[in-house]
Amino acid sequence: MTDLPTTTTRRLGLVIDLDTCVGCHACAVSCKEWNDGGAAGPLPDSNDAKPDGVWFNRVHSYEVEREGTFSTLNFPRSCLHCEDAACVTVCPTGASFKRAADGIVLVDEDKCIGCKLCSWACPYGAREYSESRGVMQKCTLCVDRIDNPSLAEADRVPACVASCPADARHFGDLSDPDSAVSKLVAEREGVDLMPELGYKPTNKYLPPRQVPPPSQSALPEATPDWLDQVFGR
Amino acid sequence: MNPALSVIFFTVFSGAGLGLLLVGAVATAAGRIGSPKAVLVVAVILTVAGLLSSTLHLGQPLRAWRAFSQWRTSWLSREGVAAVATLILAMVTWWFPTAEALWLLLGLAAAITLRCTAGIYTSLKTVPEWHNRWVLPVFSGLSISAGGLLWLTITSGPNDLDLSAWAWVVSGVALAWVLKSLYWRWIRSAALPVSAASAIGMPEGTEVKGLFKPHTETNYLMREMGYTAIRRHAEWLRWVALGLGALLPIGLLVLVQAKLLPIWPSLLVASSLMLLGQVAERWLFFAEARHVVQLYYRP
Repeated sequence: MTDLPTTTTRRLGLVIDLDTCVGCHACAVSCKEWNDGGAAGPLPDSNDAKPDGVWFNRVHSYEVEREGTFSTLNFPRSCLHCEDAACVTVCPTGASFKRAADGIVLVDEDKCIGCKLCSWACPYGAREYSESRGVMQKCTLCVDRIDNPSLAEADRVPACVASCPADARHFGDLSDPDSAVSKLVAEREGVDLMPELGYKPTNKYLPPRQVPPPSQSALPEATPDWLDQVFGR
Repeated sequence: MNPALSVIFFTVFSGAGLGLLLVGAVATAAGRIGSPKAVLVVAVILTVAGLLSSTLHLGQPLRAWRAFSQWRTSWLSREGVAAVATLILAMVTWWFPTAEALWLLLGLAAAITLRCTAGIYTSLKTVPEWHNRWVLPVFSGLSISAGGLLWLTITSGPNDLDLSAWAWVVSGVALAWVLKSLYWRWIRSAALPVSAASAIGMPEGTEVKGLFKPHTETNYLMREMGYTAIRRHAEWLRWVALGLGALLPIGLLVLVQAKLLPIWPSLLVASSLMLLGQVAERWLFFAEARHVVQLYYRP
Protein backbone atom coordinates (compact mmCIF):
# COMPACT_ATOMS: atom_id res chain seq x y z
CA MET A 1 0.00 0.00 0.00
CA THR A 2 1.02 3.57 -0.51
CA ASP A 3 0.46 4.39 3.15
CA LEU A 4 3.83 5.44 4.52
CA PRO A 5 5.30 3.35 7.33
CA THR A 6 4.95 5.24 10.65
CA THR A 7 8.48 4.30 11.62
CA THR A 8 11.29 2.57 9.79
CA THR A 9 13.76 0.34 11.64
CA ARG A 10 16.70 1.93 9.84
CA ARG A 11 16.96 5.03 7.64
CA LEU A 12 19.47 4.17 4.96
CA GLY A 13 20.65 7.06 2.88
CA LEU A 14 23.49 9.08 1.46
CA VAL A 15 25.51 11.96 2.82
CA ILE A 16 26.92 14.09 0.00
CA ASP A 17 29.82 16.42 0.66
CA LEU A 18 29.43 19.56 -1.47
CA ASP A 19 32.82 20.74 -0.24
CA THR A 20 34.78 17.91 -1.84
CA CYS A 21 32.59 17.06 -4.83
CA VAL A 22 34.61 17.87 -7.94
CA GLY A 23 31.73 17.46 -10.40
CA CYS A 24 33.32 14.59 -12.33
CA HIS A 25 30.01 12.75 -12.94
CA ALA A 26 31.61 9.42 -11.94
CA CYS A 27 28.68 8.73 -9.60
CA ALA A 28 26.16 9.33 -12.40
CA VAL A 29 28.06 7.18 -14.88
CA SER A 30 28.72 4.30 -12.50
CA CYS A 31 25.06 4.40 -11.43
CA LYS A 32 23.99 4.16 -15.05
CA GLU A 33 26.49 1.36 -15.63
CA TRP A 34 25.40 -0.68 -12.61
CA ASN A 35 21.70 -0.25 -13.32
CA ASP A 36 21.99 -0.87 -17.04
CA GLY A 37 22.88 -3.90 -19.07
CA GLY A 38 22.20 -3.03 -22.70
CA ALA A 39 18.71 -3.04 -24.20
CA ALA A 40 17.50 -5.84 -21.90
CA GLY A 41 18.70 -4.04 -18.79
CA PRO A 42 16.43 -2.00 -16.60
CA LEU A 43 17.61 1.37 -17.91
CA PRO A 44 17.68 1.25 -21.71
CA ASP A 45 18.31 4.45 -23.66
CA SER A 46 16.38 5.47 -26.72
CA ASN A 47 17.24 7.46 -29.85
CA ASP A 48 20.90 7.15 -30.88
CA ALA A 49 21.17 10.57 -32.54
CA LYS A 50 19.71 12.48 -29.59
CA PRO A 51 20.42 10.19 -26.67
CA ASP A 52 17.58 10.18 -24.19
CA GLY A 53 17.21 7.90 -21.24
CA VAL A 54 16.70 7.60 -17.54
CA TRP A 55 19.50 8.55 -15.18
CA PHE A 56 19.07 8.22 -11.41
CA ASN A 57 21.80 10.70 -10.74
CA ARG A 58 22.38 14.10 -12.34
CA VAL A 59 25.31 16.38 -11.50
CA HIS A 60 24.67 20.13 -11.83
CA SER A 61 27.33 22.82 -11.53
CA TYR A 62 26.46 26.25 -10.22
CA GLU A 63 28.20 29.51 -9.51
CA VAL A 64 27.18 30.62 -6.02
CA GLU A 65 27.73 34.02 -4.46
CA ARG A 66 27.75 34.36 -0.69
CA GLU A 67 28.66 37.59 1.07
CA GLY A 68 30.68 38.77 -1.90
CA THR A 69 32.56 35.50 -2.35
CA PHE A 70 32.02 33.56 -5.57
CA SER A 71 32.59 29.83 -5.83
CA THR A 72 31.75 26.86 -7.98
CA LEU A 73 29.35 24.37 -6.47
CA ASN A 74 29.05 20.90 -7.96
CA PHE A 75 25.72 19.45 -6.99
CA PRO A 76 24.83 15.77 -7.48
CA ARG A 77 21.05 15.32 -7.43
CA SER A 78 19.34 11.99 -6.79
CA CYS A 79 16.46 10.52 -4.77
CA LEU A 80 16.59 11.62 -1.11
CA HIS A 81 14.42 8.71 0.16
CA CYS A 82 12.18 11.12 2.09
CA GLU A 83 10.51 10.14 5.34
CA ASP A 84 7.33 11.87 4.20
CA ALA A 85 7.54 10.82 0.57
CA ALA A 86 4.72 12.48 -1.40
CA CYS A 87 5.69 10.47 -4.49
CA VAL A 88 4.54 7.34 -2.64
CA THR A 89 1.23 8.62 -1.28
CA VAL A 90 0.05 10.03 -4.65
CA CYS A 91 0.65 6.71 -6.45
CA PRO A 92 -2.73 5.27 -7.49
CA THR A 93 -1.56 1.69 -8.00
CA GLY A 94 0.65 0.83 -5.04
CA ALA A 95 3.65 0.49 -7.37
CA SER A 96 5.51 3.11 -5.30
CA PHE A 97 6.33 2.14 -1.76
CA LYS A 98 8.65 2.90 1.13
CA ARG A 99 10.24 -0.08 2.86
CA ALA A 100 9.50 -0.24 6.58
CA ALA A 101 12.80 -2.05 7.25
CA ASP A 102 15.19 0.57 5.89
CA GLY A 103 13.16 3.47 4.52
CA ILE A 104 14.23 2.96 0.89
CA VAL A 105 11.66 4.31 -1.60
CA LEU A 106 11.15 1.96 -4.56
CA VAL A 107 8.96 1.49 -7.64
CA ASP A 108 7.57 -1.94 -8.49
CA GLU A 109 7.95 -1.65 -12.26
CA ASP A 110 5.53 -4.55 -12.83
CA LYS A 111 2.70 -2.60 -11.21
CA CYS A 112 3.46 0.94 -12.43
CA ILE A 113 0.99 2.25 -15.03
CA GLY A 114 3.21 5.19 -16.03
CA CYS A 115 0.76 7.96 -15.03
CA LYS A 116 3.73 10.21 -14.05
CA LEU A 117 1.92 11.74 -11.06
CA CYS A 118 4.76 10.73 -8.68
CA SER A 119 7.22 12.75 -10.74
CA TRP A 120 4.91 15.77 -10.42
CA ALA A 121 4.82 15.31 -6.63
CA CYS A 122 8.62 15.16 -6.22
CA PRO A 123 10.29 18.59 -5.90
CA TYR A 124 13.78 17.10 -6.34
CA GLY A 125 13.33 15.66 -9.83
CA ALA A 126 14.30 12.24 -8.53
CA ARG A 127 11.91 10.26 -10.70
CA GLU A 128 12.29 9.92 -14.43
CA TYR A 129 9.87 8.26 -16.82
CA SER A 130 11.23 5.62 -19.17
CA GLU A 131 9.79 6.12 -22.66
CA SER A 132 10.99 2.68 -23.70
CA ARG A 133 9.47 0.82 -20.76
CA GLY A 134 6.40 2.96 -20.11
CA VAL A 135 7.06 3.07 -16.38
CA MET A 136 8.57 5.42 -13.81
CA GLN A 137 12.08 4.70 -12.57
CA LYS A 138 14.16 5.99 -9.68
CA CYS A 139 17.24 5.47 -7.53
CA THR A 140 17.02 2.19 -5.61
CA LEU A 141 19.97 3.01 -3.34
CA CYS A 142 21.38 -0.05 -5.11
CA VAL A 143 19.25 -2.54 -3.17
CA ASP A 144 20.88 -5.23 -5.31
CA ARG A 145 24.32 -4.27 -3.94
CA ILE A 146 23.81 -3.24 -0.32
CA ASP A 147 22.15 -6.53 0.70
CA ASN A 148 24.02 -8.73 -1.73
CA PRO A 149 25.91 -11.52 0.10
CA SER A 150 27.78 -12.46 -3.07
CA LEU A 151 29.63 -9.14 -2.99
CA ALA A 152 32.60 -8.48 -0.74
CA GLU A 153 31.66 -6.55 2.41
CA ALA A 154 33.41 -3.40 1.16
CA ASP A 155 31.41 -3.44 -2.07
CA ARG A 156 28.01 -3.52 -0.36
CA VAL A 157 27.47 0.19 -0.92
CA PRO A 158 25.62 1.99 -3.73
CA ALA A 159 27.59 2.16 -6.99
CA CYS A 160 27.79 5.97 -6.79
CA VAL A 161 29.46 5.76 -3.37
CA ALA A 162 31.89 3.06 -4.48
CA SER A 163 32.99 5.06 -7.51
CA CYS A 164 33.36 8.55 -6.03
CA PRO A 165 37.07 9.48 -6.45
CA ALA A 166 36.76 12.48 -4.11
CA ASP A 167 35.19 10.51 -1.25
CA ALA A 168 32.30 12.99 -1.40
CA ARG A 169 29.58 10.35 -1.07
CA HIS A 170 28.91 8.37 2.10
CA PHE A 171 26.35 5.65 2.73
CA GLY A 172 24.91 4.51 6.04
CA ASP A 173 22.08 4.44 8.57
CA LEU A 174 21.00 7.97 9.42
CA SER A 175 18.65 6.80 12.20
CA ASP A 176 21.61 5.61 14.28
CA PRO A 177 23.25 8.64 15.95
CA ASP A 178 26.50 6.67 16.35
CA SER A 179 26.86 5.71 12.69
CA ALA A 180 29.72 7.27 10.71
CA VAL A 181 27.29 9.16 8.46
CA SER A 182 25.32 10.59 11.41
CA LYS A 183 28.54 11.76 13.05
CA LEU A 184 29.64 13.35 9.79
CA VAL A 185 26.31 15.19 9.51
CA ALA A 186 26.58 16.40 13.12
CA GLU A 187 30.19 17.52 12.73
CA ARG A 188 29.74 19.29 9.39
CA GLU A 189 26.20 20.60 10.06
CA GLY A 190 24.60 18.69 7.21
CA VAL A 191 21.41 20.14 5.75
CA ASP A 192 18.17 19.03 4.11
CA LEU A 193 17.21 20.27 0.64
CA MET A 194 14.04 22.43 0.56
CA PRO A 195 13.17 21.70 4.22
CA GLU A 196 10.24 24.17 3.93
CA LEU A 197 8.27 21.68 1.85
CA GLY A 198 8.24 19.22 4.74
CA TYR A 199 9.12 15.97 2.94
CA LYS A 200 11.87 15.23 5.53
CA PRO A 201 14.56 13.90 3.19
CA THR A 202 16.83 11.16 4.55
CA ASN A 203 19.86 12.13 2.44
CA LYS A 204 21.88 15.02 3.81
CA TYR A 205 24.17 17.48 2.06
CA LEU A 206 27.31 18.82 3.74
CA PRO A 207 27.68 22.52 2.87
CA PRO A 208 30.95 23.76 1.37
CA ARG A 209 33.40 25.10 3.94
CA GLN A 210 33.54 28.90 3.92
CA VAL A 211 36.96 30.01 2.71
CA PRO A 212 37.79 33.42 4.20
CA PRO A 213 38.44 36.04 1.52
CA PRO A 214 42.20 36.67 1.08
CA SER A 215 43.32 39.43 3.39
CA GLN A 216 44.79 42.57 1.83
CA SER A 217 48.28 41.98 3.29
CA ALA A 218 48.46 38.49 1.80
CA LEU A 219 48.09 39.85 -1.71
CA PRO A 220 51.30 40.41 -3.70
CA GLU A 221 52.45 44.00 -4.14
CA ALA A 222 50.74 45.76 -6.98
CA THR A 223 52.86 46.12 -10.11
CA PRO A 224 54.92 49.34 -9.91
CA ASP A 225 53.54 52.15 -12.06
CA TRP A 226 56.73 52.54 -14.11
CA LEU A 227 56.54 48.89 -15.19
CA ASP A 228 52.99 49.42 -16.42
CA GLN A 229 54.10 52.47 -18.34
CA VAL A 230 57.05 50.65 -19.94
CA PHE A 231 54.83 47.88 -21.18
CA GLY A 232 52.07 50.25 -22.22
CA ARG A 233 49.34 48.94 -19.94
CA MET B 1 4.11 21.71 -16.85
CA ASN B 2 3.73 19.91 -20.13
CA PRO B 3 0.16 20.38 -21.44
CA ALA B 4 -0.64 16.77 -22.44
CA LEU B 5 -3.68 16.76 -24.75
CA SER B 6 -5.04 13.50 -23.30
CA VAL B 7 -5.25 15.01 -19.80
CA ILE B 8 -6.68 18.29 -21.13
CA PHE B 9 -9.50 16.45 -22.97
CA PHE B 10 -10.04 14.21 -19.96
CA THR B 11 -10.53 17.03 -17.46
CA VAL B 12 -12.71 19.11 -19.84
CA PHE B 13 -15.00 16.35 -21.12
CA SER B 14 -15.29 14.27 -17.93
CA GLY B 15 -15.74 17.54 -16.05
CA ALA B 16 -18.62 18.58 -18.34
CA GLY B 17 -20.21 15.10 -18.17
CA LEU B 18 -20.05 15.02 -14.38
CA GLY B 19 -21.27 18.63 -14.24
CA LEU B 20 -24.25 17.60 -16.38
CA LEU B 21 -25.13 14.79 -13.94
CA LEU B 22 -24.86 17.23 -11.04
CA VAL B 23 -27.12 19.77 -12.77
CA GLY B 24 -29.52 16.97 -13.71
CA ALA B 25 -29.73 16.00 -10.03
CA VAL B 26 -30.36 19.59 -8.91
CA ALA B 27 -32.97 20.06 -11.65
CA THR B 28 -34.71 16.83 -10.62
CA ALA B 29 -34.77 17.98 -6.99
CA ALA B 30 -36.24 21.29 -8.19
CA GLY B 31 -39.01 19.39 -9.96
CA ARG B 32 -37.76 19.89 -13.51
CA ILE B 33 -36.79 16.42 -14.51
CA GLY B 34 -36.61 17.35 -18.22
CA SER B 35 -35.48 14.46 -20.40
CA PRO B 36 -33.56 12.28 -17.93
CA LYS B 37 -32.53 9.54 -20.34
CA ALA B 38 -31.02 11.99 -22.85
CA VAL B 39 -29.18 13.72 -19.99
CA LEU B 40 -27.79 10.34 -18.84
CA VAL B 41 -26.65 9.34 -22.34
CA VAL B 42 -24.82 12.60 -23.05
CA ALA B 43 -23.25 12.70 -19.57
CA VAL B 44 -22.03 9.11 -19.73
CA ILE B 45 -20.62 9.53 -23.26
CA LEU B 46 -18.68 12.65 -22.21
CA THR B 47 -17.41 11.11 -18.97
CA VAL B 48 -16.38 7.82 -20.57
CA ALA B 49 -14.71 9.60 -23.51
CA GLY B 50 -12.75 11.67 -21.00
CA LEU B 51 -11.75 8.65 -18.94
CA LEU B 52 -10.63 6.74 -22.04
CA SER B 53 -8.64 9.78 -23.18
CA SER B 54 -6.91 9.88 -19.78
CA THR B 55 -5.61 6.33 -20.27
CA LEU B 56 -3.84 7.50 -23.47
CA HIS B 57 -1.15 9.28 -21.46
CA LEU B 58 -0.37 6.16 -19.45
CA GLY B 59 2.78 4.21 -20.21
CA GLN B 60 1.00 0.93 -19.45
CA PRO B 61 -2.75 1.50 -20.08
CA LEU B 62 -3.62 -2.20 -19.72
CA ARG B 63 -2.66 -2.02 -16.06
CA ALA B 64 -5.03 0.91 -15.42
CA TRP B 65 -7.26 -1.31 -13.25
CA ARG B 66 -4.58 -1.21 -10.57
CA ALA B 67 -5.34 2.50 -10.09
CA PHE B 68 -8.50 1.63 -8.12
CA SER B 69 -6.51 0.21 -5.22
CA GLN B 70 -4.86 3.13 -3.38
CA TRP B 71 -7.88 5.30 -2.53
CA ARG B 72 -6.64 5.64 1.06
CA THR B 73 -3.82 8.02 0.11
CA SER B 74 -4.07 8.93 -3.59
CA TRP B 75 -6.48 11.49 -5.07
CA LEU B 76 -5.94 9.93 -8.49
CA SER B 77 -7.04 6.55 -7.18
CA ARG B 78 -10.03 8.12 -5.38
CA GLU B 79 -11.01 9.82 -8.61
CA GLY B 80 -10.95 6.49 -10.45
CA VAL B 81 -13.11 4.80 -7.80
CA ALA B 82 -15.56 7.74 -7.65
CA ALA B 83 -15.82 7.95 -11.46
CA VAL B 84 -16.61 4.25 -11.81
CA ALA B 85 -19.15 4.44 -8.94
CA THR B 86 -20.80 7.41 -10.70
CA LEU B 87 -21.00 5.50 -13.99
CA ILE B 88 -22.53 2.44 -12.27
CA LEU B 89 -25.11 4.69 -10.57
CA ALA B 90 -25.84 6.31 -13.94
CA MET B 91 -26.54 2.87 -15.42
CA VAL B 92 -28.90 2.02 -12.56
CA THR B 93 -30.64 5.37 -13.04
CA TRP B 94 -31.22 4.45 -16.70
CA TRP B 95 -33.76 1.83 -15.51
CA PHE B 96 -35.42 4.23 -13.01
CA PRO B 97 -35.03 7.58 -14.77
CA THR B 98 -37.57 9.40 -12.63
CA ALA B 99 -36.40 8.17 -9.21
CA GLU B 100 -35.50 11.36 -7.36
CA ALA B 101 -33.44 9.59 -4.69
CA LEU B 102 -31.28 7.91 -7.33
CA TRP B 103 -30.67 11.23 -9.06
CA LEU B 104 -29.60 12.79 -5.76
CA LEU B 105 -27.12 9.95 -5.17
CA LEU B 106 -25.87 10.35 -8.73
CA GLY B 107 -25.39 14.09 -8.26
CA LEU B 108 -23.50 13.47 -5.03
CA ALA B 109 -21.23 10.88 -6.71
CA ALA B 110 -20.53 13.30 -9.58
CA ALA B 111 -19.69 16.08 -7.11
CA ILE B 112 -17.31 13.78 -5.21
CA THR B 113 -15.59 12.80 -8.47
CA LEU B 114 -15.10 16.47 -9.43
CA ARG B 115 -13.65 17.14 -5.98
CA CYS B 116 -11.21 14.22 -6.38
CA THR B 117 -10.03 15.48 -9.80
CA ALA B 118 -9.31 18.90 -8.32
CA GLY B 119 -7.58 17.18 -5.38
CA ILE B 120 -4.98 15.63 -7.70
CA TYR B 121 -3.79 19.14 -8.57
CA THR B 122 -4.38 21.03 -5.32
CA SER B 123 -2.44 18.43 -3.31
CA LEU B 124 0.83 19.05 -5.20
CA LYS B 125 2.94 21.41 -3.09
CA THR B 126 5.50 21.46 -5.89
CA VAL B 127 3.32 23.58 -8.23
CA PRO B 128 2.14 26.95 -6.81
CA GLU B 129 -0.35 27.52 -9.68
CA TRP B 130 -2.15 24.33 -8.58
CA HIS B 131 -1.60 24.21 -4.82
CA ASN B 132 -4.01 27.01 -3.89
CA ARG B 133 -7.62 27.60 -2.89
CA TRP B 134 -8.69 28.85 -6.34
CA VAL B 135 -8.31 25.59 -8.23
CA LEU B 136 -11.19 23.66 -6.64
CA PRO B 137 -13.89 26.39 -7.07
CA VAL B 138 -12.68 27.26 -10.59
CA PHE B 139 -12.60 23.66 -11.80
CA SER B 140 -15.97 22.86 -10.20
CA GLY B 141 -17.48 26.11 -11.52
CA LEU B 142 -16.34 25.48 -15.10
CA SER B 143 -17.50 21.85 -15.02
CA ILE B 144 -20.89 22.62 -13.48
CA SER B 145 -21.56 25.59 -15.77
CA ALA B 146 -20.65 23.46 -18.81
CA GLY B 147 -23.04 20.84 -17.45
CA GLY B 148 -25.70 23.54 -17.04
CA LEU B 149 -25.43 24.71 -20.64
CA LEU B 150 -25.52 21.12 -21.88
CA TRP B 151 -28.57 20.45 -19.70
CA LEU B 152 -30.35 23.50 -21.15
CA THR B 153 -29.44 22.34 -24.68
CA ILE B 154 -30.79 18.84 -24.07
CA THR B 155 -33.98 19.76 -22.24
CA SER B 156 -35.10 22.81 -24.24
CA GLY B 157 -37.68 22.14 -26.92
CA PRO B 158 -37.50 23.75 -30.36
CA ASN B 159 -39.89 26.49 -29.24
CA ASP B 160 -39.67 26.54 -25.51
CA LEU B 161 -36.86 27.91 -23.39
CA ASP B 162 -37.39 28.00 -19.66
CA LEU B 163 -36.57 31.54 -18.50
CA SER B 164 -35.44 30.66 -14.98
CA ALA B 165 -33.22 27.79 -16.21
CA TRP B 166 -31.79 30.18 -18.81
CA ALA B 167 -31.03 32.75 -16.11
CA TRP B 168 -29.30 30.14 -13.91
CA VAL B 169 -27.10 28.99 -16.79
CA VAL B 170 -26.11 32.52 -17.85
CA SER B 171 -25.19 33.50 -14.30
CA GLY B 172 -23.43 30.17 -13.69
CA VAL B 173 -21.22 30.57 -16.77
CA ALA B 174 -20.49 34.20 -15.88
CA LEU B 175 -19.62 33.32 -12.27
CA ALA B 176 -17.29 30.45 -13.28
CA TRP B 177 -15.32 32.71 -15.63
CA VAL B 178 -15.19 35.56 -13.12
CA LEU B 179 -13.56 33.07 -10.73
CA LYS B 180 -11.19 31.97 -13.50
CA SER B 181 -10.22 35.60 -14.20
CA LEU B 182 -9.55 36.14 -10.49
CA TYR B 183 -7.35 33.01 -10.57
CA TRP B 184 -5.42 34.42 -13.53
CA ARG B 185 -4.94 37.66 -11.61
CA TRP B 186 -3.80 35.75 -8.54
CA ILE B 187 -1.18 33.60 -10.30
CA ARG B 188 0.62 36.72 -11.50
CA SER B 189 1.91 37.17 -7.97
CA ALA B 190 2.22 33.46 -7.11
CA ALA B 191 5.81 32.60 -6.20
CA LEU B 192 7.58 29.25 -6.06
CA PRO B 193 7.45 28.04 -2.44
CA VAL B 194 11.24 27.67 -2.21
CA SER B 195 14.33 29.48 -3.47
CA ALA B 196 17.15 28.17 -5.64
CA ALA B 197 19.45 28.50 -2.62
CA SER B 198 17.21 26.22 -0.55
CA ALA B 199 17.03 23.73 -3.43
CA ILE B 200 20.79 23.16 -3.24
CA GLY B 201 21.07 23.39 0.54
CA MET B 202 22.71 26.83 0.68
CA PRO B 203 21.65 29.52 3.18
CA GLU B 204 18.97 32.02 2.13
CA GLY B 205 20.40 35.00 0.33
CA THR B 206 22.91 32.95 -1.66
CA GLU B 207 22.87 33.93 -5.33
CA VAL B 208 22.78 30.87 -7.58
CA LYS B 209 23.63 30.85 -11.30
CA GLY B 210 23.79 27.87 -13.61
CA LEU B 211 27.30 27.01 -14.74
CA PHE B 212 27.06 23.61 -16.45
CA LYS B 213 23.97 21.52 -17.09
CA PRO B 214 24.13 17.86 -16.12
CA HIS B 215 23.44 16.75 -19.69
CA THR B 216 23.73 18.24 -23.16
CA GLU B 217 20.43 16.88 -24.52
CA THR B 218 16.98 17.37 -23.04
CA ASN B 219 15.48 14.86 -20.62
CA TYR B 220 12.14 13.80 -19.15
CA LEU B 221 12.28 16.38 -16.35
CA MET B 222 12.87 19.28 -18.74
CA ARG B 223 10.12 18.15 -21.13
CA GLU B 224 7.51 17.33 -18.48
CA MET B 225 8.23 19.87 -15.73
CA GLY B 226 10.26 22.48 -17.61
CA TYR B 227 7.48 23.57 -19.97
CA THR B 228 6.36 27.18 -19.53
CA ALA B 229 4.10 29.09 -21.88
CA ILE B 230 5.53 32.21 -23.48
CA ARG B 231 3.87 35.11 -21.68
CA ARG B 232 2.55 36.92 -24.74
CA HIS B 233 1.10 33.70 -26.15
CA ALA B 234 -0.54 33.03 -22.80
CA GLU B 235 -2.13 36.51 -22.70
CA TRP B 236 -3.52 35.99 -26.18
CA LEU B 237 -4.81 32.52 -25.39
CA ARG B 238 -6.57 33.78 -22.26
CA TRP B 239 -8.71 36.01 -24.45
CA VAL B 240 -9.43 33.09 -26.79
CA ALA B 241 -10.46 30.96 -23.81
CA LEU B 242 -12.62 33.70 -22.31
CA GLY B 243 -14.21 34.53 -25.67
CA LEU B 244 -15.01 30.94 -26.65
CA GLY B 245 -15.78 29.74 -23.14
CA ALA B 246 -17.90 32.61 -21.86
CA LEU B 247 -18.49 35.69 -24.06
CA LEU B 248 -19.71 33.97 -27.25
CA PRO B 249 -21.92 31.39 -25.46
CA ILE B 250 -23.48 34.10 -23.27
CA GLY B 251 -23.99 36.30 -26.36
CA LEU B 252 -25.74 33.43 -28.15
CA LEU B 253 -27.89 32.75 -25.08
CA VAL B 254 -28.96 36.40 -24.95
CA LEU B 255 -29.83 36.42 -28.67
CA VAL B 256 -31.81 33.20 -28.23
CA GLN B 257 -33.75 34.72 -25.32
CA ALA B 258 -34.43 37.79 -27.46
CA LYS B 259 -35.87 35.36 -30.06
CA LEU B 260 -33.36 36.55 -32.66
CA LEU B 261 -31.87 33.10 -33.15
CA PRO B 262 -33.43 29.60 -33.29
CA ILE B 263 -33.18 27.85 -29.92
CA TRP B 264 -31.80 24.41 -30.56
CA PRO B 265 -29.00 25.01 -33.11
CA SER B 266 -27.81 28.08 -31.21
CA LEU B 267 -27.61 26.21 -27.91
CA LEU B 268 -25.67 23.41 -29.59
CA VAL B 269 -23.19 25.90 -31.03
CA ALA B 270 -22.92 27.67 -27.66
CA SER B 271 -22.17 24.35 -25.89
CA SER B 272 -19.50 23.39 -28.42
CA LEU B 273 -17.82 26.80 -28.25
CA MET B 274 -17.83 26.62 -24.47
CA LEU B 275 -16.09 23.22 -24.45
CA LEU B 276 -13.51 24.54 -26.95
CA GLY B 277 -12.92 27.55 -24.71
CA GLN B 278 -12.42 25.22 -21.76
CA VAL B 279 -9.86 23.21 -23.77
CA ALA B 280 -7.88 26.45 -24.28
CA GLU B 281 -8.32 27.32 -20.60
CA ARG B 282 -7.11 23.87 -19.53
CA TRP B 283 -4.10 24.07 -21.87
CA LEU B 284 -3.11 27.25 -20.03
CA PHE B 285 -3.76 25.61 -16.65
CA PHE B 286 -0.94 23.20 -17.46
CA ALA B 287 1.31 25.42 -19.57
CA GLU B 288 1.36 28.26 -17.04
CA ALA B 289 2.06 25.99 -14.08
CA ARG B 290 5.64 26.08 -12.83
CA HIS B 291 7.23 23.16 -11.03
CA VAL B 292 9.80 23.56 -8.25
CA VAL B 293 12.23 21.23 -10.05
CA GLN B 294 12.78 24.04 -12.62
CA LEU B 295 14.98 25.65 -9.94
CA TYR B 296 17.66 23.06 -10.62
CA TYR B 297 17.73 23.74 -14.36
CA ARG B 298 17.02 27.50 -14.38
CA PRO B 299 18.08 28.76 -10.94
